[in-house]
Amino acid sequence: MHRLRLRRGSGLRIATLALLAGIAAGCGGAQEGGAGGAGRVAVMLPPGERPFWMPLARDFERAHPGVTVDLIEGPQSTDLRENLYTASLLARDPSFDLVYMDVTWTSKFAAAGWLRPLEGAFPPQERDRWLPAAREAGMFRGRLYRVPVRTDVGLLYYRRDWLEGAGYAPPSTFDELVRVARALEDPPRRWGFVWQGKQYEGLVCDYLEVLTGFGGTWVDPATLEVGLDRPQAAAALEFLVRCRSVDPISPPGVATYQEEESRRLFQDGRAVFLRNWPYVWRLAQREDSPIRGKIGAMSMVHAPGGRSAGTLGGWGLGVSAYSRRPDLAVAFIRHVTTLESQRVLCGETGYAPALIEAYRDSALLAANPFLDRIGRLHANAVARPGIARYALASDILQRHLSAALAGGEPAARALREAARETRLMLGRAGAAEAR
Amino acid sequence: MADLTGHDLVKVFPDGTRALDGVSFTARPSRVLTLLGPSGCGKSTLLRVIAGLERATSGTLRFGEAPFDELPPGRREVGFVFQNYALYPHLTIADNLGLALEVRRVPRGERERRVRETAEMLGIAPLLGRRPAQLSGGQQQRVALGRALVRRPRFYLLDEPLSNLDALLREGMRAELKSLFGRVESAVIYVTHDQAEAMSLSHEVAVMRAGRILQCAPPLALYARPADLFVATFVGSPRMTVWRGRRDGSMLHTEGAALATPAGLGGGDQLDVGIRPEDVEVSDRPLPGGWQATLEVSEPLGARTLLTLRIGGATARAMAEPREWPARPWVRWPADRLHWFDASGRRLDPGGPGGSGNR
Amino acid sequence: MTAPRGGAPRRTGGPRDRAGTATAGRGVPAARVLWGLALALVLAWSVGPAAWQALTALKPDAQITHVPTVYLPHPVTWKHVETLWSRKPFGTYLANSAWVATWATLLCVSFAALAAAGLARMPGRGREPLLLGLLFLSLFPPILLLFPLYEGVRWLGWINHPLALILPYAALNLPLAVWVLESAFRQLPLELDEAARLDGLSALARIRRIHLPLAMPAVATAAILVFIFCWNEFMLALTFMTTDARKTVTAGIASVSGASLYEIPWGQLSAAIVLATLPLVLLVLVFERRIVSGLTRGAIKG
Ligand SMILES: Nc1ncnc2c1ncn2[C@@H]1O[C@H](COP(=O)(O)OP(=O)(O)O)[C@@H](O)[C@H]1O
Ligand SMILES: [Mg+2]
Repeated sequence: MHRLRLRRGSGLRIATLALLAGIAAGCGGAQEGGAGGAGRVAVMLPPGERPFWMPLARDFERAHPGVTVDLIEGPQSTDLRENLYTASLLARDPSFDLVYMDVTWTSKFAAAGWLRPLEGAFPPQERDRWLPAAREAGMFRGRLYRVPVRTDVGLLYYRRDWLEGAGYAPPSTFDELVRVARALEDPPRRWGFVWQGKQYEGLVCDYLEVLTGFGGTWVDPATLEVGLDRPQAAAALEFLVRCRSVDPISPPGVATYQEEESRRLFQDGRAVFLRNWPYVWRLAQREDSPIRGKIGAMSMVHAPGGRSAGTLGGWGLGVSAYSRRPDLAVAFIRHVTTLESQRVLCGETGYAPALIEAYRDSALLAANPFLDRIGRLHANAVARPGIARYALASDILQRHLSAALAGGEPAARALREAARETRLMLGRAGAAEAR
Repeated sequence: MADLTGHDLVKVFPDGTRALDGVSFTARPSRVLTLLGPSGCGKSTLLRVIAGLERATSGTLRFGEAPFDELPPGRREVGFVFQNYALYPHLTIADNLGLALEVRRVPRGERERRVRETAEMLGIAPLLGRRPAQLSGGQQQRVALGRALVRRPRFYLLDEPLSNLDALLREGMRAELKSLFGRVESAVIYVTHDQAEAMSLSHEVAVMRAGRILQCAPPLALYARPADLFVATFVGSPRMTVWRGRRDGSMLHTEGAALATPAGLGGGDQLDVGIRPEDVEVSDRPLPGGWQATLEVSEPLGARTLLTLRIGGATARAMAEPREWPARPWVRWPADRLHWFDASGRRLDPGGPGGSGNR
Repeated sequence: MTAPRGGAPRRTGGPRDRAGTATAGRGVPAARVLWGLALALVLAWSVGPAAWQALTALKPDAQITHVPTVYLPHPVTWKHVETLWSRKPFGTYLANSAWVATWATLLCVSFAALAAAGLARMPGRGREPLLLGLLFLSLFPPILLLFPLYEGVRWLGWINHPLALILPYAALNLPLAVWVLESAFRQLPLELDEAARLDGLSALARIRRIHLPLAMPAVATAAILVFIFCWNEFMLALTFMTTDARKTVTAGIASVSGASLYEIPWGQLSAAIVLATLPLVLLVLVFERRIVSGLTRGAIKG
């Protein structure tokens, strides 16, 4: 028996050695995938955007001989791309020189030290050319980490034809919105108001607009003050609850809607009002759209004396702290944020540009007349709080909003709890946040 | 071919079981050494130690002069036949036979020739393409034998190879085995608990008990002069009748009868005396120097009838003519057919202690 | 097993017995109807979602999201499949998955066989704790390993190298494969091992020529399970394979995109999922044959 085990052991050792040898042999061929060459800039994009970036990359390569731009196609899901960037940056991996970021990532990535400050490369007079809200969303603790490439802002679409036909002006307050919606709706064939009520980031965006309309606040990134247990916050949530269940102008299913579900109802001619993003406009104006030429867009309504707000979204570029060619990375950012590049990127896609002057550019306006309107509504943009733990704060808020919307929990109580949890979370991270 | 010898082999299992307790033996070329003993006495363990499947705790094994304790089983050149055959179920019979040759890099042509020769010798040539599951028990037995034979090993080890066959097949195979063993040039060590098998096949029989070899002798010697009370009762069927008695002068007083002890018999006050049933003479009429017994059971076996008799306070068994016997027959036995044993079970011989067998 | 007396106590499950007598007696249609009903339910439960995916893949966009639900596509459209193949190197994804999963499975089953053979014939009391330890190891969520693995893979320069997936996949599945193989090996008669040792087979040769062929059903089972895991694994594939030339099918599906950031391309996704699953289904069907044939010729006891 002894001998048997010994011999078996030696067989195993041989097999292990063989495998290690095989791996070592494999190593040689493995290097080509690694980051490296002097002239390479890499960035991971959503797969749908890559084709539109290709011409920009080719232009850049032409202007910088010997340099290649590697446009890596990431997964479609924003969360997955964030995870991938996070994993890579955690590992100090230089394989992404640029980080293509949603507005909400900036504070987290900057706080972690994964991004290079850029105010040196982009002096104030250059920054002044960007939309103010988008510019602010790229700052963290007074430094610039993200250059806006394209922007998004929350809008309230309405059926101009129906409102005009019934003799209504576009509403400006929440009560007016409800009144017009009730007058024009005919459920379940036609609903008054559709929006995004599912427990996810979109719900926070919708709520933030209503909250601002009531004069409330969520978290002040400078003082870390939490405003969720103030009466304005409760009033805002009560409005959303009212839409769904008290004065039902929204379908019960709204508590499960994301952007596309709500857009489809509106586009099928089954809703009077729709809260959504600018992309809806182009789809609504397509040849085969039943609502083509019949809609208007404005910012979310507000309480009497309050102000209209549209949640700021959008994407921008930061430079990885681990990039081996930050100079090239900065050059590429500068290249994609010129007016000509904005024309290329936004003309075909209908994306809203980040450059103020682009909204007055005749070529772009010709391709997308709606830009003019978006440009003006951008004045109402409101940013989500730029705190390092934004994702946690959003998660807390989503849960309690959803509990009130779908679970029937009283709005004030849900928000008190949300405020308590948010303070707890911020308090624990307080030292880091308030620095 | 050389002698296979084991010297003072001891095997203690990790759980403390002492399966071999100092076994020595010599197996000679072209001769069959049978290990005979009750179940659990260590026969298989000894075989496995020889084959290298178990490592002896102490002791040495030699082939000729060369010790081979350190050789792995595959290099000991043994032909081993397992009690349950252990054929490879997923290989054809040809591959079952040929695997060992293939491992030894015997060229294909020679391999096939040897497999075929062996198969023909065993009468299983038509089965070479089949798998074990498609064979009868007897055929599987032959394949198991063939797997040992085809390698032309230095010695054969067979562990109760016939015990899984039914009685009829077993007798036929026993005869075949005997003729087969007559032709091989290697030593054969054959394990069985069946003494008839042992007697019929062996040149020498080693009777084992509790990890020891009690006696190793040719079958007839073993039968005629068992060295030990255990051997005496284990070898021979039906069993030897044994009576215990107290010695008083030249007489031994047993419960059955008082017997005269031969002159010069050693031993102490207490002795055992045995008589084989076939040595007992039975008669309807009084026999001079005999005893009248009471017939308790009569078992006709065909050629003979086995009688269980009561003599005085003891029982004895006798092989008698196959017929009806009266209730009180007379019995008698020749004094020289009595086997004497001392209190520790050792054989006593008139004219001196011990004197027979190897041990 | 066939002997009624010997078999009876082993069959502890009541329902099996009843089913047995019902079919034997031929006189209890109620039991049969129930049996059939249960079968239909199970079938609907397990095949339903897959069928739905397949139907969605063949529907025009308008019918996918249409309310009320459209069940059967009319007309059937291959548009999604075509878009998928034209926009994405889907064939490359499939080939990468096959390559990675095959090597990982081979590696995993080979090493598992070594470990299982050792464990199955291990003397003394060490076996149980070792097996339990393995089970315990396999309970670790692989996601915990993502970051350490990422560091290692990057350090080795294996980003976008198949080994970055093959080795972790093989390692992650070792406990499972060892469990499956060990219990199969342990049931092989010890004498077969010994006969092979006497025939001169080395430890490795015994595993290859005796253990593995005799435990073929278990080997096939282990291989299928490992292969399916590798085929379906997502996080590591997504993280380590960033170029289209190297992406496996799961990572590839993640980058299937709609016209806008908010649009989910249901048709294309369904087409991709069906296309990614088909090879797996074929593989299991083929292997299943092998399992069955392995079972019928097993017949270890003569
Ligand atoms: N692997 C083992 N571990 C512990 N005890 C064993 C082992 N193998 C055999 N034994 C014990 O050793 C003794 C001899 O067994 P064995 O050689 O198989 O007897 P037999 O004469 O019937 O072939 C028995 O008491 C048996 O229980
Ligand atoms: Mg035995």
